[in-house]
Amino acid sequence: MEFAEHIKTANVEDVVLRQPLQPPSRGTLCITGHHLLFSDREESDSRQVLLLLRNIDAIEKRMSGSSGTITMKCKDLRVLQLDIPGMEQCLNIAHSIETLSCLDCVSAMYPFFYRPVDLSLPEQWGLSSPEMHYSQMKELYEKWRLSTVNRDYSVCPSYPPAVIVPKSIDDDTLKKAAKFRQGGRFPVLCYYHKKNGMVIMRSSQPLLGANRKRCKEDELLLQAVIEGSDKGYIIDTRSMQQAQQARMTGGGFESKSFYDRWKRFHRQMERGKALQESLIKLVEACGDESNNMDRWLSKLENSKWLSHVQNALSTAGLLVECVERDGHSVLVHGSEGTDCSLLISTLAQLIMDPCCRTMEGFLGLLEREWIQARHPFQQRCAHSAYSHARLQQESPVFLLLLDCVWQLWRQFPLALGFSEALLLRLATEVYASDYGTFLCNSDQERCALEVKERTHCLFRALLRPTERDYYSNPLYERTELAIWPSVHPQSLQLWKGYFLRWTQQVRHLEEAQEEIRNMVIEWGKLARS
Amino acid sequence: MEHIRLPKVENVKLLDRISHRRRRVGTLYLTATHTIFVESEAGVRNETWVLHSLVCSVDKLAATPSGCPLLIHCKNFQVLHFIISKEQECHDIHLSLQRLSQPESYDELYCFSYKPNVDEKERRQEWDFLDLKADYSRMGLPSSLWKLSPVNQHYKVSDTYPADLFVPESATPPVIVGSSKFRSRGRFPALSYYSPLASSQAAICRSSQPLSGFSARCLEDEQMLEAILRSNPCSDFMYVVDTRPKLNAIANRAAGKGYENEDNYSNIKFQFVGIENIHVMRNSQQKMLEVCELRSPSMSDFLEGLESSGWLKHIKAVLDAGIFIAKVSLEANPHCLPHRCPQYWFRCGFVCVLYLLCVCVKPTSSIFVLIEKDWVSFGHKFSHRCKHVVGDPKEVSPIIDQLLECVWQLMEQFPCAFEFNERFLITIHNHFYSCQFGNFIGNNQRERIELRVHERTHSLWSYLWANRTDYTNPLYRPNHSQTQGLLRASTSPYSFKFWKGLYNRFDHGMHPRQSVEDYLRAIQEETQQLEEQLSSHTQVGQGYADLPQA
Repeated sequence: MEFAEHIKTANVEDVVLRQPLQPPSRGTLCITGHHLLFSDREESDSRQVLLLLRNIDAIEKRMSGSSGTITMKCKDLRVLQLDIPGMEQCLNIAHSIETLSCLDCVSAMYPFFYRPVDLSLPEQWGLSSPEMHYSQMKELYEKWRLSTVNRDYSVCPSYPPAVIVPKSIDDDTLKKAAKFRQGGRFPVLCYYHKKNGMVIMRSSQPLLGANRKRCKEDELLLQAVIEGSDKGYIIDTRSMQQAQQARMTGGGFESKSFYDRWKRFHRQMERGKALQESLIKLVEACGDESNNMDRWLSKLENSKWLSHVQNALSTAGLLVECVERDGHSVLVHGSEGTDCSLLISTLAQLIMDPCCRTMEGFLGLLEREWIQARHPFQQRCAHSAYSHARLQQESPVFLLLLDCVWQLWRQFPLALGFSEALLLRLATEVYASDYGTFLCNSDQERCALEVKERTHCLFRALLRPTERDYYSNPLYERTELAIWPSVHPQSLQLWKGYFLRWTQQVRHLEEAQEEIRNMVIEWGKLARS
Repeated sequence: MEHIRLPKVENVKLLDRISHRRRRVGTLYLTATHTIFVESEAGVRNETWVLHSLVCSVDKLAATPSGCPLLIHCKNFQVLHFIISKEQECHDIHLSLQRLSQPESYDELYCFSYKPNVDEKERRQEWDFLDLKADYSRMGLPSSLWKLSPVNQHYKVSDTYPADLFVPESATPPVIVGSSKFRSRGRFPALSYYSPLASSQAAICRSSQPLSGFSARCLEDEQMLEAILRSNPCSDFMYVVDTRPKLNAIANRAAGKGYENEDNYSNIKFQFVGIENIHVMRNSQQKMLEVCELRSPSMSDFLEGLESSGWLKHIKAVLDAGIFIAKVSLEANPHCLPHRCPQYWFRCGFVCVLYLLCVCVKPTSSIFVLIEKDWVSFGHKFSHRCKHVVGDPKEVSPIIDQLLECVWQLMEQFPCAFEFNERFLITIHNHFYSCQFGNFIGNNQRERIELRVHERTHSLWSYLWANRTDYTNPLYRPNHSQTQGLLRASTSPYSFKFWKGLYNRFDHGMHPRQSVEDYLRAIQEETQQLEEQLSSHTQVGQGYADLPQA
């Protein structure tokens, strides 16, 4: 891949940069294959801005006379403006940004080139693997086993090579069950609740089709999950009607007659395009300073984003209720089982399991549920709220997760080991990153491109001591109890730290967090002395 | 006691507001001052006490097979849903409570029977806790430009103003009296706040609207404003801020009241900052509370309801006004700012207080002074607005709620800027309505003197001060950048939040389950102790060092 062909003008002098919360500055602009670099001329207090081109979601150019203005709207919701002298230079720069910010070729992306001096490429990529996870969970050994039926990704291209399944089910049964599930995503264990031995399973929809096919092996597999218990619950993240309609296209749901010990709940959760449009509307509303109160509230309502937050948290609450209060195992799926299912199983684990609430635990949870169990990041996060490109597979499910976690943190400010800053960092990295963690759509693709060998892992970087200090919650106190969120509309709030992060107001809130951190440090110092 | 038809009912159910499936069974008692519900479950003695003066409305709903529902709405936004098995009992309780919650005279108010265990000397000291004169002298008053005027002694000029008022040095009694005749309820322009800084001698004055009609003018009033302008040598003009929407002001002009004719006053800039009248505010809050009470609203129901209530729009208008005044007085060259509202009692108070919060008042004791001066002494009609005694329902309005909410909105934007916390605001809110303390009894100073409030009741301020550790914001830093100078608050619509801490105060399930503040307060105390220990150690150490070497 030759980047040079896209860069006709690499350097421009006398450019004015305008960015939020800072006075405009004049300096030199430089475009490289992956970055936009701006450094101002002030000798005393020189400032640089280094922006990943991948972070740029949309640009607008406006020409007036012999100069032009480029407005860059970033995926982290920042809006920057460059005033560039010389029409040709301006057009060249705009063209380079447009092309380089949305290259499709994964192996040409920056994580493959990012080589910080203080970091060598890791021997182990990621925090854990399914094998390690299983080996640490001794309580699983009795009834569950690690199956490598998917070692060459042939049974399910989107699963990792090893998955946890009931001990009594052999690999042949798994292969047959996989054929009955969309994309081969047969039911696998994603969480074991130590308090009562109940589990959360996750899968894609069963392929009943219009003539209501059944699959003995799939039934057997699910039967084995609730061995020794009177029943299990299925949480389908689609409405009853949607699930029925899915039969017309070959999908469907577990019918009462063949899965008689499973009780099904339907909870419609928005996904795909609807979610992306919701984000676009919300960001638009937040960016329009001219709104009066009525318009703002009406746009906020109209975006439906907070409704999605409410819905996700209440569905996760239902899942926790089944496992923790009611004491039964649960299978979660929607259609593909790669979006909403991950969202609610992640939230449920965070609510129930104190181990998932430490910083390490949370990142491990994200790795298991979103990286290994495969959320198609490449497709979902190709563009954010500003892009004019036609929507394809974009959908901010991961961002919705982070928002829900933020709501949990608001309601239980001492229960999570990490801070809002970590959530903001993840929200930025998922769209444009120096690290390879969110590249590709599946484990298989990552192996094919040698992501694990040739890029750095974000999660490991975040756990280095300096970063860990910065992202940890100074008030953290472990609690063994489930942290049940309130989902009343009054209890949920707009995540200002993200959606309004480039406003002055958020600075005041950050100052308060800073103050809290200082107080705790002060106290810690004295307590030790 | 003669109003209590039935002092005790057994087997009463109290429903949870959010989920009616959860209910508690117990006994309901009526006393002269409280309604008390005692849960009868074995082992726990759970009591709910509701002061009669906090009861806003009592409604008996149609009987159901399980009993007769009685719904009590309180002024502090508590809602109690009882089910009483016998209809006759419910009827008796209903009638008793209706009477008990609507005192017909001041003497029935709780503050006159509230007798905590405090001796008379201490009680009198409570009332000495605040000294408004000291506050004026802190502002550098009286000065060569502003003097204390005896004109309203015995409340002869304006019976709703306090006796002690500051006016421009050059304003003579005939001018003041003349000006007062031109203004609603005689509320002539008087000084509310004076910046003691030499660099900014801005003053804020307040008055009621002029009775100018379409053509009338009043020379004395024009001279009065001229005198105010002269009392600020730094500035050659001043703003007159009219807190009404311009349309309302024009409509009032047709009714013989109105706003100053600009042609008759020199060097004045007019600014209208549309704050709606008390009736609009009352209806808006009513709608907003209905939204709060929805049992399981969807997010859309809630946001749509909040929008159509218009409540946050009004809060924004009030805050906008406060910030406007703060900005012009500090940023542009200092001006004098009389501002004025249609009747005498409410919007000026708002704007003064908010202005001051933005500019200088962040420690707890200063907000006492602020409320005492701008609301109590300048004559906010508490007993009408808060319905302390039975009266015209159209006079009730949540002005005080709005004031406290604006402060809360500022606190949410600037978490390190205020010494007091949300609990403090909620406690004050409660006592504006509870009539437990004498501070907010009556509509003005004259009435309070007639009622001998200072001799017969207790003062809220010293109570709050005594318990101030509960009300302190652990993040407050007197030297923090957020505390310095003008609070540059944002009034973009997205900066405003719904205040569930107040309006859903009793719905415990909605509030955060862990409190950062309590945690910080605990470590703050521990830090202090450790520091003291440490310093005593070092002193001991130094003591040894000082010993002459042997």
